[in-house]
Amino acid sequence: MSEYKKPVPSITPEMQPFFAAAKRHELVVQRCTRCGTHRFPAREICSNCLSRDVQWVPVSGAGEVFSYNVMHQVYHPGFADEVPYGVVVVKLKEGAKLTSNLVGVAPHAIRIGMPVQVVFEDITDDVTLPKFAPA
Amino acid sequence: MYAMVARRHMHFYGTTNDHLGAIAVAERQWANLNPAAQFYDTPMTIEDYHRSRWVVEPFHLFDCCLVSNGGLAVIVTSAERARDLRQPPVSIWGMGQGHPGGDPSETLTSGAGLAKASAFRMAGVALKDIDVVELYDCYTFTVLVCLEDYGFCKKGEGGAFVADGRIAPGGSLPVNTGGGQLSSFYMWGMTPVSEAVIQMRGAGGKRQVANAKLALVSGNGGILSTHSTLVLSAAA
Repeated sequence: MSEYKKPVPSITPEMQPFFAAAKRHELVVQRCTRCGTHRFPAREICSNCLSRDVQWVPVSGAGEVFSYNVMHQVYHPGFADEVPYGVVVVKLKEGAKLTSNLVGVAPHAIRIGMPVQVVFEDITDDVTLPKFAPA
Repeated sequence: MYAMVARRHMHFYGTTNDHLGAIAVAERQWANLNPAAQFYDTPMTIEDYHRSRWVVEPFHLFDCCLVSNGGLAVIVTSAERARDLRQPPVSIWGMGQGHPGGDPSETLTSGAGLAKASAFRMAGVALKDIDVVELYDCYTFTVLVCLEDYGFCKKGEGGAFVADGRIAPGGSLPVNTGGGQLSSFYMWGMTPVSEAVIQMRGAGGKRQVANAKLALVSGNGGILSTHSTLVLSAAA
């Protein structure tokens, strides 16, 4: 695997189930076991019903572009060769939102409402990032 | 994340970069009247705005606040003590906070409406009584959303509201009369507070709004989801 020059996510204990699943090319998010609301990233308390009861559950990986922007500013040298690139917020069918990238789509071709499906990018031996592609 | 919210506002309400640019240009015109502003000597047209580099689309460089070094202080004391001080006092008539929680990219709404309700109730004033508006303007878009949420126009109509110079010098609603965080200086929430105090004292020089007696001040954070409002008065 070639050297990955961009920042690699720190896998906190709270997010460990997410990255463990991603490494298996599975997408999981948290689901409140009281009210059923899906949420991401990991949070202790459900913003809908304030319950602390939660489990990680597999989701379809299908959703749509909820919003997007196009990054021009180089905040880290690892991105210098990629600007301008698109950043998307994907709203999954299950309701949780993930911030990620859309692969295979020029940044200015991204539109709100585009149907997308999760894909997985193995960036290091340990870390895999869920990204999205047009469905 | 503000850019993500702005993109959805554009998608649902037809807000454009011309609208955001109108806010940037209006604030620059105010800054050109304020010798303390970082951009005092630098005029800007809407063409200059569109030519400024993208930071994160849909935000150009001139949609974003300045980086500033400096210091500001306001002295808060009792009305009785204030009477003996060398500077004319400005009265706090109302204050309020609003933290709606949730996801502003879903609601396209800040906490301004909630904060306003408390502050205006305390002050016993209505929107029509406000002479000067000093909004927290980390981005042009923050101004647009807050103008809607305070009720100066309907939700979704902020773009058209600012498009015709209404908030610029000479317009019917003076907003960010010192040039704001976009064109004067970024000192957190103290930028709008200090300008409101200056206006209420009648000390605004070339940018002084004639007969300004009541100022609305806003603070904003947490990606639009936490908000505070002050109503400041020239009268006791």
